[in-house]
Amino acid sequence: MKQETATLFYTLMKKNGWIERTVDPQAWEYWQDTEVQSELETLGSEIGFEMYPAGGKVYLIPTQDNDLFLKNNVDYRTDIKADNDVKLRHLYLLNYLAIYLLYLLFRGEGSNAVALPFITKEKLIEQFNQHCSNVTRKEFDEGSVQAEYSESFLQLANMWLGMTEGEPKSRKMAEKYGCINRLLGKFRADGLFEDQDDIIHPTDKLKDLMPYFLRKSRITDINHWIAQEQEG
Amino acid sequence: MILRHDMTDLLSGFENRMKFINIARAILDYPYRDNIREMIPDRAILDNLTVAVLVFIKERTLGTQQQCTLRDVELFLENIAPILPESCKPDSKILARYLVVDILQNSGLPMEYLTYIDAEERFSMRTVRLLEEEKGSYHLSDEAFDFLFRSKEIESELDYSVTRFRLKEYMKRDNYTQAVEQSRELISRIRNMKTGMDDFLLRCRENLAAITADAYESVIMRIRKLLNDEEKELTEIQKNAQERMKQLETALLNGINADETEKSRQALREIIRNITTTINEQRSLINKRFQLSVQFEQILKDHYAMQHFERMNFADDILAPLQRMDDQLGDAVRFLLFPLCKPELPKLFSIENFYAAQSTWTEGTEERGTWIDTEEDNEAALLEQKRNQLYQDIMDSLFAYMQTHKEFTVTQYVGTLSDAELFRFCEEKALPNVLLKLFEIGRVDIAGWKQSAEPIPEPKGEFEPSWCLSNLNDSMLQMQEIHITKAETERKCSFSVTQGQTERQISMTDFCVKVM
Repeated sequence: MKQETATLFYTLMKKNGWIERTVDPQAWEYWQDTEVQSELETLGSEIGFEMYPAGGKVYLIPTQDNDLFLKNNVDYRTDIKADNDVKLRHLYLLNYLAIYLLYLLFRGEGSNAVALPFITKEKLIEQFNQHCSNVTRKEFDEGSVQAEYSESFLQLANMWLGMTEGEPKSRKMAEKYGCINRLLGKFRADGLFEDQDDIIHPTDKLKDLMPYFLRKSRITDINHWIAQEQEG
Repeated sequence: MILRHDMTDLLSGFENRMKFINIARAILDYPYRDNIREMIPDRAILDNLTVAVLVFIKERTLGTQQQCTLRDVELFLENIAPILPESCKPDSKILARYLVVDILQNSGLPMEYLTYIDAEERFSMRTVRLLEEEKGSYHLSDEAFDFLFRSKEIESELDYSVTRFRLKEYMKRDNYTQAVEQSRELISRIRNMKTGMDDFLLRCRENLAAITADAYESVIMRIRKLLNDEEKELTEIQKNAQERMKQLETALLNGINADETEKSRQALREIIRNITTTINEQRSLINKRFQLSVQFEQILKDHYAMQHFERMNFADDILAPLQRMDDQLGDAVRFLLFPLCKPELPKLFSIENFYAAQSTWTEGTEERGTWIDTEEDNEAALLEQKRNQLYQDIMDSLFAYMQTHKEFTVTQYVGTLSDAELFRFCEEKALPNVLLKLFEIGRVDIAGWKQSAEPIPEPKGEFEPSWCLSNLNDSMLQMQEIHITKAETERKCSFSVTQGQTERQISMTDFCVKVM
């Protein structure tokens, strides 16, 4: 392996997983070398990562078969379980809410995934209320919506609707603002969202990586995971 | 009542804004007569035609024809008739008259509007005219001219050429006050173009999808055109200005109309300076264009990589399966967001781990009680010696250069150093420190210093000129004194030197050294 490849890999790991052309010109120069690129590709297929250039940056993205990197930085099950007053259903709710937040901001069509540039916490609560009400209303109108929603998902929707909003700075899991604030703590740690004055902004990293996140080829992985989970 | 100072600032030049708005109103606010409605049933189409005629008059009167009669406008309307919807049945003769006389000339009446005038601090009526007529030929009023150019992108190349054109025209007519204005405008326009280029890249980065296909072309073409035409033109105007200035100088010497001539001479001097700035900025813009091409290519490459695959449907492929899950929901983020997480190796791989065992052992054998860290002291002493040596080497090199050069600038001296020397001299900014210190002293009295033969202790890693001088060979100290002053040009002396992966950059005021 070339020394440049090792240095670049080291820099990427040290720099939160990405380098930028203007900020790290030396590392960027290494990245321009096709030999380095192909060596990184080989290394990636062994360890489980892919290189992904976007917007004057290049990201090191762990793939699903990666079992080397720490996974608990996105797994807030561990964190939240440690707290005694957090119930399992809160954990499920937070998981769904996290994906729903991404959905709200990145459900755009065509070549541009961004649907909203930012969202306020208040609007997020409003939208999620609406989303949950739709589920429960369907249940009421049609008697059974089992095919579309699982029993536990319906419970989650009802639980959310029954929660109080709380203070915007709340950290209580039994309150809507509390749930959102805890969620954002996690997102901040991974550099995906920033929040200021109750406005939630996706970071440049998230904007860069969403097209990767949504690429169709990942669907096989996702389906595989769903099938596995259902069997389990 | 007196207006607060910040409010005065805010409203400064307010009438210009109102003028702009009212010109737009003058173009769009007109009686829509029945006979015209029959010809052009859509008022919005008529708006477009009005602006098109305005542009036509401008183009024609700026060009070599210099004349634009109603007949010309008629012909123009006939030429553009194919773009009109089928419902339009224009009679170009009637239409031309209506557009020019009734709308653009407001049937001959000046358009009146009320505006706040900041100089007078009150509201006042003002008028605006779009077209002027001279013996049946129409041309744009100054206001309309300005409006039309500002209505297109301000940084457009046409805009720029027109400013240059106007500058040339004013020079021809010896109207220097206006010409100075135009030369200033040229600079601001070229700077606008620069900003335009940066904006373009920014917009690309933010959302390439929103950039039209020809936006890049237009940015690049605009600058290419600059390279070809403008520099030649500007140099010509500048040459012309210089000649005129010479003439004025002669006139001034002969005492002809001294006040006026002096004023014109000053204006010309500013024009020449402004054109030089413009040409320089133009060149740097052209260089920047190459960078733009490279960066744009990179953005496109990245974008292609991003768009090269199909996107899944967020709602159907991700949200819907999640809604059907039970306990597995607890793993959703862990699984789905894993690619977005910060890649981190477990602690097991950290370098500390390898040395963990060793550190435990060291801690165990450590002696208790107070003790002196001799090793650390030794290290400090070595560092001092190293620094002293570095300063000494710099002085050696500087004085060696003084043997052959009696007057020089720092830039000249630095230019003679080898890369390796320079790299070493720039360690901890040693070279600038030496030069600054010498500059502070200003006049280094070598002869005087030689007479006071006091013993000088070795410094503690600081630059001590006397100590360095005492280490120099006598043959190098044959001068009386050395003067270090700021270079007259107040230039910066900047250089950078790279060795391996380390780059050392220095930027400091250039000094002038005189050896007596």
